[in-house]
Amino acid sequence: MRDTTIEQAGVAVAAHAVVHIYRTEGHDVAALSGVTLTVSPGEVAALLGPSGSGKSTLLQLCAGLLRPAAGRLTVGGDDLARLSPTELDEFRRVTLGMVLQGADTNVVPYLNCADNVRLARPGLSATQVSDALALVGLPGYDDREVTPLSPGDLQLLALAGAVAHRPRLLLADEPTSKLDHASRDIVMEAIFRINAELGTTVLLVTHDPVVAARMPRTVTIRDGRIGAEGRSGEEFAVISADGSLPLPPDVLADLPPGTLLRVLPEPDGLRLVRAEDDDAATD
Amino acid sequence: MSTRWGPTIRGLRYRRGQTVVMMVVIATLAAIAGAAPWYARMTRDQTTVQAFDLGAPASTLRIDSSGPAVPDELVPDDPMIVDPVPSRDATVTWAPPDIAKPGEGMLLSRAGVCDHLRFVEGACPTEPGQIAVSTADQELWGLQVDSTVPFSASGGGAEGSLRIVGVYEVVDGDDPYWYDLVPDGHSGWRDLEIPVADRFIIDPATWQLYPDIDGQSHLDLRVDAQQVDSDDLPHLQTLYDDLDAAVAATGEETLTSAIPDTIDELEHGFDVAGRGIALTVGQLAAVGLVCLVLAALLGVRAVRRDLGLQRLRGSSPGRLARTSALEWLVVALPSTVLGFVGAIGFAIAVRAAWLDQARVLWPPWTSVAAAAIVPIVGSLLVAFLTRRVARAPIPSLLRSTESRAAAGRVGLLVLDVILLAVVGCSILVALTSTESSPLVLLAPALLAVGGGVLVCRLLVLLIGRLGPRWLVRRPALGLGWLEIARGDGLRAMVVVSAVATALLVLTTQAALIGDHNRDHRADVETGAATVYRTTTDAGQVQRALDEIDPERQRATAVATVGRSGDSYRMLYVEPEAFRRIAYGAAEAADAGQWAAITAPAGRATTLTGDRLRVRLTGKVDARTPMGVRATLLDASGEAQSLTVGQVRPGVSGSQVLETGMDCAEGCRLLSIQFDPEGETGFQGSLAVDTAANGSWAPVELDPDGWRPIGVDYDGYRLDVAAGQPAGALDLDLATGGLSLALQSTYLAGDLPVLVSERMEVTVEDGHEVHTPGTALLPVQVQGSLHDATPRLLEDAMVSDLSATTRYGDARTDSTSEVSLWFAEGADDDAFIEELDILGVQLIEVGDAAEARTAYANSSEALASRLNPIAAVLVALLAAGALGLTLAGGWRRRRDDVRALDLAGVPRRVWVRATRVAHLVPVVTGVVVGAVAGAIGTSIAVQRVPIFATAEPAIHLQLDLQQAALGVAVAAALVVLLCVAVAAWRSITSGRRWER
Repeated sequence: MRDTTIEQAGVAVAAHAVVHIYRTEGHDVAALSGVTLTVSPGEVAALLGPSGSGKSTLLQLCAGLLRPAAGRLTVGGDDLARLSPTELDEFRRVTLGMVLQGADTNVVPYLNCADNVRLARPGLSATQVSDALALVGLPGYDDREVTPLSPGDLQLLALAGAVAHRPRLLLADEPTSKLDHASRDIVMEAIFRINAELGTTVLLVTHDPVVAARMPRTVTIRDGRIGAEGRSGEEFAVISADGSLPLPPDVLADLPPGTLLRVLPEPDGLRLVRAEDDDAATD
Repeated sequence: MSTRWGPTIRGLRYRRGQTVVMMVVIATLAAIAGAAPWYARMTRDQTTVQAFDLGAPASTLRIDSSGPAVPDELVPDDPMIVDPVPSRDATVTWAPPDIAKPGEGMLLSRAGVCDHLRFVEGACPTEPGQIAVSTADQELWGLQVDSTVPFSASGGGAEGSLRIVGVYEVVDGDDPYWYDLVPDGHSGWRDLEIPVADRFIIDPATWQLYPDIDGQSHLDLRVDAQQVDSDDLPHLQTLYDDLDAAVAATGEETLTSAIPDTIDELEHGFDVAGRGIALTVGQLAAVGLVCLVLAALLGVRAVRRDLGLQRLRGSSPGRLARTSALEWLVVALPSTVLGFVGAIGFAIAVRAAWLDQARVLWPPWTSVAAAAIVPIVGSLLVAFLTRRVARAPIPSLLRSTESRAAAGRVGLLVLDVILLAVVGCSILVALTSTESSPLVLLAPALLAVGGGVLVCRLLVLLIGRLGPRWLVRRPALGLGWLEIARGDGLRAMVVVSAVATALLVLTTQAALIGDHNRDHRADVETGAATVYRTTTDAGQVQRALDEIDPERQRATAVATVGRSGDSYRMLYVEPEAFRRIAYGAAEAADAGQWAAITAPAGRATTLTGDRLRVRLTGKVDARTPMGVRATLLDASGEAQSLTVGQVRPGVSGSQVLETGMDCAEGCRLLSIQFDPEGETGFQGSLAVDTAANGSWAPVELDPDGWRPIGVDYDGYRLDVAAGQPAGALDLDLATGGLSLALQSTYLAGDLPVLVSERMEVTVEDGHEVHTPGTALLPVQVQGSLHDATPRLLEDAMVSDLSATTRYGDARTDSTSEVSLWFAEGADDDAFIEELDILGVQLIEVGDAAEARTAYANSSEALASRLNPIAAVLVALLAAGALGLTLAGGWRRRRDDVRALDLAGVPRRVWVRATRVAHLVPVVTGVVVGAVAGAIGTSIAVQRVPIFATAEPAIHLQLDLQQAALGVAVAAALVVLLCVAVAAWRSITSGRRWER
């Protein structure tokens, strides 16, 4: 029987003014320009945003695959930038579970399901492997070959491989891309189940609005910054660590860059007034 | 399958193409590593057994003692020393019946000798005073059973006579019992003046009968060849040293043995062969190692993404390296075992085919160790490569194509410069080393590497200039060239192809040149296909040949004067037949030179009848008589030495000396000799007459046809001039007592000779040489022999045999030998029987085929036999290395093809472009390798000791064999092109070989 008790809680992920720059020949590209974000232990959050906005970069920074050029990124209180390579390996082996983009990217084609789950984790017992497969919805798949599996099942297998060691943080890069609706729902259910049963903090990247709509928290990244945040379906703007406030895209259409505004405190918040409108009113 | 090794085995099955290649490479390397020390060991054992199996003196020890017997305690207590045979002998002077001059003989008693003799008459001596004589002595000297042989001890003292009780033949002359003392029945010479006898076998009790005979006791010991292998040589050396010390300590005994020399020669051979094998196999292993590196690199790169996944799950590079190394052993260990089984098969095969005397089939520990090194090295290599790859950033590992930037930070130009510098320095060191270093054998491979790198750079430069232009005019060619220029596998492809071709050239040429020169040496040392000695006069041999082989297509007669150790030896031959049979076609171009030594015939002085009369007219100024002797040559070619009479001293006027002769069918007068008993002078004329029918018929004596000999000593004089009356010779003779002679020149001029190259500076026209008998002839040098004279590797002069047979002097005696040299295939029983019927009995003294076989079994030759095998393996490994190089760039090449396809480039264009990209580097590499191989091999064969021959040196054929060179290059081209074409076809057909 699968052990459904929560053995350990998820970890908090905290990014403070995180900057990441890709250095290429001839010029540098800032993928993240001061991202500040906190994900609470056991929380499920999705990173949204257009292609190239930096969400996958943020996910890789959280996995310790990249190191921030500036800022601070902690997982469970550990500053990933300060961890040695050995400590990073330990972090990925114990704390982290990660699912890469693409259903077949996470599996080794010539191994069966159990061996794929056990890959790089030889200490896992057969029971733990079976439990992991059952947790994601692939009970009894231990000895099945990978090749005939559907993309949905492959993604579930990837999830099983990522959580078999009961990680405290699960990172998933577009886990539902290229899946049909039914498979998408199954995968999402598996992710929520993992969160619920293991208490694992889940941070995923998605383009799919349906997936985003089902997430209790969404963080939209635009141009390397936090553009907005949604909670339970409601969208919020987020003030950055440097005090800047990215405007929602529809507002930005009316207020193009360079527009002068007056920020007027009001009892229940702030009021933004275009400077020329204010001047006209004054006149 | 969820066992510990399940995933590994699944992975291997998934990448079965790579797995198979890897297994083949490992198995080949293990087979090479395992077989090389094994083969070296077997060759050592084989040559050791052969050396000790040759018998005396190589494997024997002899202890000599002046006492009655060698003490038994000197016999070493060692199982390798077998069959101690005590013996005692003494040299005695004896005289055969009816022969006045005493000769030499040897009394011999030897333990167990009767068991090794067959008695054609009588029995073995069992009583004191009895002897047995050989059948040859019976025939030569007329010794009969029950007759007695008077003798006296050579050192004086004892005298006596021994009764003949038996006539023996040796049962088996090759029986080790005889050591090198076998009575061969032919020790006696037919020279009547020196009757040297074969062994006189006596009973040991005879020594007590004649205690004053100054004999010598011996103890012969033998190393049992069947018990010795190469590991025993140090033990044998110690055994010899101990025995030598023990013998020296006695003060009375001495030890003689060639065992230390045998050991030295063997160890020298081991050294040469060992270096040859090591260098051949070393280069082979180097190619194999490149294959292994490429295979390992390919294997590790193929699992980059798997490694990335594992890194993502927390596996450290070190852990992945350890795991990979361990998993690699799953392939390596069975492959190594497989390879070692191959080595066992090889050992069994070569033992059956070549090394039948190498008893040790069990592999030496070095063989096992060398084979075991392969998986260990491979495992470490895989660990290193895995660690290196796994340390790349995880995101890059997870990408399908490796980043080009990962190739390294060192620029290719710098890499090329370093490589060329290393290659250049290596070649320089090898060529300038003071001694001929076998490292020169690396020259072809080094030149191939250097040439390959240089050509690659030039090729890229050329493509840079021409590629874009071609891209417009001939898109397929242009695209192909550009693909070559950007392909990071270009150098590997060119260098692998070049090195493989160069090694193929080296191995084939080394084998052929080595074999050719060994065979050539065997042929030269033997003289002809087979050589037989005969006790028959050369004249009789020639007459026999004239009867059954007048064209000399099958055999030719040769008379040799001078023993080994003389400053030179004279060879009297039948020029044209000798050139054909002894030198073969190689000397065909010098036919004119050989024709030039045909001795010009002069006028003969012919006598007929049964009385020889010599008339001396003039004053004899002497107090003692002076003997006059004459030598005649009868129609059968037999020489007659006649004592004509004695000239009385103090008599003026004519004196006629007369004796009988047997010249009914005519004789030639060869010489007239004056033998004074003291100081003598004579001035007057000499005439020779023969009583043909009772009336005097003076023989015309032409002064030009006679020359004095023996007059160059202390002013002794013998002048010859035309005499009066006509037909006589005017003589002016003065001597202090030594004999002087007149010799019929019988030649129209001096003896024409060819001399060996080194003798050109020492031998001038007029230099006098001996014929096999008594004649002394001045020579006229006609030219030099550019190669050693067959069978006579010392300095030699060659002249026409007819010049000597005219003097009746081509006889067998103690300083000369008459032999019959057979052409290839002529040595058949029927021919030999015909000769036998005509009175020419033959004893084989040389067989070129046997000599070739002996050389073919030398350490050096056995080592060289690996060359053809190495050539095949080089071709296979090179094919593997090229295949792996191509497969290494497979994914990128496939991506290129896909990109061209997507860009709308017509299929036929990119198919042709890919073909150009695959084939041009291979063809370029083969061309570079052919040139490097030809140059490097030419350098190597001139300098490497394994191609040298023992002193005296013979001219070696060290030119490259063009046909073989062409075949080797063609073979390399075909094999490598097949691989390249297969790779090209699989890429363009979209197969996924990159797995």
